[in-house]
Amino acid sequence: MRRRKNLIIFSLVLIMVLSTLQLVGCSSEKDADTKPDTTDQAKVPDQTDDTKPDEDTQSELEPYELHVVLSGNDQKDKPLVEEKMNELLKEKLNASIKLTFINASNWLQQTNLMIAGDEKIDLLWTSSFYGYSSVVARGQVIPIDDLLEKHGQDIVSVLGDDVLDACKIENKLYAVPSTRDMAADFGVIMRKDILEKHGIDISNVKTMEDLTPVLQAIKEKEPDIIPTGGHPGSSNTMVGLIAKGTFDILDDWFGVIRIKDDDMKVVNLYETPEYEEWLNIVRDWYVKGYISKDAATSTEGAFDQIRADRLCSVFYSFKPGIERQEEIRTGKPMVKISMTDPVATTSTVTVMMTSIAKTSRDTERAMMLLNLWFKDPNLVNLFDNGVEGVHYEKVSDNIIKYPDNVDAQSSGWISNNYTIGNNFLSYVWEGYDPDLWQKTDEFNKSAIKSPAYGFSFNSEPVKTQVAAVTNVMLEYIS
Amino acid sequence: MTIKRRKNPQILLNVFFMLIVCACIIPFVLLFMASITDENTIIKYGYSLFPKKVSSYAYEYLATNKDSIFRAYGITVIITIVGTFASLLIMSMLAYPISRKDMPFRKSMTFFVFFTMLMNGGLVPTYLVYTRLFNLKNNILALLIPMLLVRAFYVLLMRTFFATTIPDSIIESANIDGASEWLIFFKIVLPLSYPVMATVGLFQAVNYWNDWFNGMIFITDSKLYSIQNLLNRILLDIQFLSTSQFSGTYDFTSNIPKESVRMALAVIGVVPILLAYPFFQKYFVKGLTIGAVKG
Repeated sequence: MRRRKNLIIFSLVLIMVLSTLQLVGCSSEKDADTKPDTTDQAKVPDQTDDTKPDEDTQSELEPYELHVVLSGNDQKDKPLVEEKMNELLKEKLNASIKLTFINASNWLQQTNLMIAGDEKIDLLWTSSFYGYSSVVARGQVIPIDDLLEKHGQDIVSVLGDDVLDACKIENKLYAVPSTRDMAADFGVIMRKDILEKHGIDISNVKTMEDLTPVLQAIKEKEPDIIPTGGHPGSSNTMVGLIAKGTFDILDDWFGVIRIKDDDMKVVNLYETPEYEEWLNIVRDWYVKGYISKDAATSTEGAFDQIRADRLCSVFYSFKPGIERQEEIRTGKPMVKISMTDPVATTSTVTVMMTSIAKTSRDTERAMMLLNLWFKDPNLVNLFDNGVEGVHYEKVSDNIIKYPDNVDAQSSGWISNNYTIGNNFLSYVWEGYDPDLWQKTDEFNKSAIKSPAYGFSFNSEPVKTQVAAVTNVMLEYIS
Repeated sequence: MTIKRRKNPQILLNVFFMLIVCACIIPFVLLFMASITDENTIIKYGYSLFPKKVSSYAYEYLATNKDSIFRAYGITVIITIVGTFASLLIMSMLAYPISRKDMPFRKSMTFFVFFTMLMNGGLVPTYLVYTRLFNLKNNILALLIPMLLVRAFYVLLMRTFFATTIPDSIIESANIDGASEWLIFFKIVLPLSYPVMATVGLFQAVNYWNDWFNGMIFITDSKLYSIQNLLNRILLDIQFLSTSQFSGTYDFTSNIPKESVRMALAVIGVVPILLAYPFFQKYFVKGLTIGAVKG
């Protein structure tokens, strides 16, 4: 008897608690996209009544809000950019857009929660960096071959089958990359002013060995400045970066193949003679004092150190326009010394892609939006550069600069323009090469393709081995 | 002779505690000094208690970015004040009945509270309940309610306080004088319970002030970032990006504030809560007793 009474009270309390919480939830503002689809459709009519879509061909489309989730930091002027995008999309797709930016450290947890919570996501940024194959294995994104066929012809013509094939997993396409630099060459980027001041010639530097006299000269003439270094705390070590130009690291460094070897033999990078040679050179530099004594423990970013006159050069990966990009960051004129050919591997392509999440309520419209992002310069420029007159001003046809009272610090819209779409359609910032995008395109085409181009390593069947090797790597490499 | 023997340990003890005090204070001084050090000096020479070059750049930067930073600050202040008072009210209203011996089913209700200390739903179910059932995603209530508003441990702390320090006879006499239960609770029990209220209030204020987890899970809109959430995002991003294999050419770090700015953010994040401590201190010892017999 007593037990039963207890149970009744228990459940009453439970109901009370739940219902009060429910009330709290009801009084709060409703957020359309967190609700299940049924209510979504119920809400649709109130969004339509302003204007009718202009184009007859699109008029049969129901109004729809497209939710785009990308990597990056939330921007102050997002509402303004969204509003301008909406004007454009209303006309073309009878849709509106909602952008969500998730920062890098939080990406995996937040997107997993959102998809588990069945939140509406139409376009989802996807990267090999967070495990493209595991996103696919978890079923978070859908295959898009048919949709691409139907609504994405502009994407196919911009990217080409070659690039798209590199993004396929088991012959199915789940994501399309953004157009940007899809290859990289590696070497060292240096302060031009120091080289010029002391008349140090770098035109003959082609390998790490050739660099030694240059570093020696810097060390002698600028005793306060450390000649070179790598990226503290990063797995992109000095030798690692150079190795990336010679070997395809196959996602994780565990086994690598020589890019110029067609026989695709997987070898252990750390046993190769090349790696030993590079290590010896770097060791030699360290002993001679060309590298900071605390290089192994320092946490200060390399480019911050260059800005603070502490460091002269850093090992880095290159793309067209890189010198200008780092000039802006460090405030010093920079010059790059490339030590490898540009190479294209699967991961240089799959590091920035866009896919359609399984929680999309209208996959066709999502593909139409993605297609538009490869076709419509207005949309691309709105996302990449912001609103004309607010975030940028035109200098000439395709060159832009900041308006008078705005700079990189105060601008309300700084986007990671390489994350999505066809960036070759966007304007070029003043100071960069006006032909930046043509050069990037040529750079991509001239790159040497790894024989494993298109291969993505699926670590699922060898999980325990991977974990064991990772521990060894953490112990000795980074 | 005997006096000397007594004095020696006294000095040792004093020195010992002075060292501990220094160990507590120096990091804060260093933090403040780093925030007023010139950015390039930090990179060249590291942190120092006596910076070579002083600069107010970091605080000027905060002032020019007042939209985002003061906004975050405001959010933090609001959730701390509202959250602390709301949770004190709700928790005491739960703790008081279960402290009363004449309350039916108080054992099972106490167990119901206690049970939540042992078990919780886990992250994904919690997220689902708050976002899908209550629509709290990107809502300021998401910073107030989940995991913070009612904490079982504090409820039990309050229950013990009510049960042991408020004599039954006071409640009984008030009852005889015709006071209603509400009147007894608000006019008699609460005024007698300042120690526990101050203690739990301080804990809750610190919890609300320092919370970044709810912000990280439920908030993607930068308008609702709290100051700790903002700081946490910046620091995690730096850590994450520096250890990542992202090809260096994708510059995810361009939006990240510089070192001295981060320090300045930490300073303005920590100072208010530091100032709040002394006001609550005198209630501390009295309030912090969950079971033992008190004098």
